[in-house]
Amino acid sequence: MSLLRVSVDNHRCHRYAFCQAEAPENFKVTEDGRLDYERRPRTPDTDRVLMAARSCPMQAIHVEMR
Amino acid sequence: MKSPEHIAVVGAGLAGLRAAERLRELGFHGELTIIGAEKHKPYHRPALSKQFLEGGLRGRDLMLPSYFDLDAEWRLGTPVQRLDPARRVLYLPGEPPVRYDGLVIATGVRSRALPGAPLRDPRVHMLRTIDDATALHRSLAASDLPCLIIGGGFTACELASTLRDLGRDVVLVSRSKTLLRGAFDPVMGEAITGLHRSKGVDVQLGAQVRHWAPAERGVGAYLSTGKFVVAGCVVLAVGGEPETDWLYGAGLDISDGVLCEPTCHVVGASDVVAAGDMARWPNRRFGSTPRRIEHWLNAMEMGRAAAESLLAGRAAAVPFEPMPRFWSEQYGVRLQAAGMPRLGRRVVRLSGDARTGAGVLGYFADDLLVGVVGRESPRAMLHWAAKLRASLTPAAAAAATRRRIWRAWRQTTCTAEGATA
Repeated sequence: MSLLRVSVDNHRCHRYAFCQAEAPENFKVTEDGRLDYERRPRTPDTDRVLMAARSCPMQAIHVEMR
Repeated sequence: MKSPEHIAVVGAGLAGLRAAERLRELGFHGELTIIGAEKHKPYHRPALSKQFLEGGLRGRDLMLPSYFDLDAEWRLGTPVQRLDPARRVLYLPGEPPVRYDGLVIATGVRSRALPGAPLRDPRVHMLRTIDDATALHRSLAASDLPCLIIGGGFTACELASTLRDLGRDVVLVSRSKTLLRGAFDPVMGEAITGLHRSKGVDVQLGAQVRHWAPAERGVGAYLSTGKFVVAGCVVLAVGGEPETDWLYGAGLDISDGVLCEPTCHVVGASDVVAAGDMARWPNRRFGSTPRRIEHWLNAMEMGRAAAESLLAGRAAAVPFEPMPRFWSEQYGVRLQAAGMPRLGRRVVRLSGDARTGAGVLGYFADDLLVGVVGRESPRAMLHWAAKLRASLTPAAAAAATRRRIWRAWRQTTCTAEGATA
């Protein structure tokens, strides 16, 4: 079983929320325009988290699989 | 397709990368060859007109990751010369032919050369590849004179924004009456035009270059509006054309990109799929007309779908029916769209006022919502994109086709009842 580690580069991220469309359980743009995200997503969320990273227009999401 | 031994991916951009990645993700264990005309591995093109030129991101920051081991043979700097789909062979320059069992075509588009422009002048640029952007960067450093941008689309607008942020003088020349006319309605186009003018861009609309006069000091351009510009560099951003020259003689329909079935399978070939900017296919959420979509997210999604279809085979493959989405950022203003706004005939304000600030516009064909455009509204766009996805189904589109509500693709006249109210 692989462990997921997610980090988002705050300078690159412009909060378009495309990640939230792909993985709403793991990424959320808040009302005041910040991005909340799960740094250690559950294994069943892997595919959605990877799609979020692929969809990021700023390529700001870094995913590590251990 | 019965367990292929060798799959070739022609095109090492986003669509090609995501297709290759998906093949491995789905358990394809055979040989994988990725052939790219550029000498670089897949990189993030959208950043070229923005963060790369600004200096915030460098070449190595732009590399696109694969989340699965590709275990591929990369043939970079290798433009494929010819395809023989009957014998399943690719011809490469100066190398033995490559045989394949399955083929992904994803060669994208190249910048269109503006007829009459002094293309050989080192101060005249196009902006598609990282090499283009590097050359432009050099040109910008060599002269303080204004930068002349020809074109009114996203590349032209984003570049104008970047150059103003860098403190450069910019003259933007477009044949259209408003900027971004191909993507939005005239009201939103005028709002964007106003944004550029408020930031000090000299926007010349309904205009073109009558005569070019390259001189030692700068590149002179006489505009049809009577203005004369001496530019330190020129960027031709007048759109792209599908990279399909290598498909001449292959017996495929390449009248505007390569024609595909709803499943991304290329019409007229076996075990060949296409993806990205150069693939023309009917997205059945918008009727039966095959269209090309030059959006970054589409290249990503279609690359994956094409890989799935290739492995599934023609009979078992499912149609690729995405809800298209795109974004653009100019002067820190985030624009997003979902669906196909330019298929709409009527524009309605769904929230706020996107002409002046945050807001969302809805585009209707008859009573059917076919697209939404948001300005500084990412959260609202989540809602509207999901709503579009749920309501604009292939069945709804088929019913709409019977009522003949789809407008011609290139037609861009739009009333703006809601937006002007």
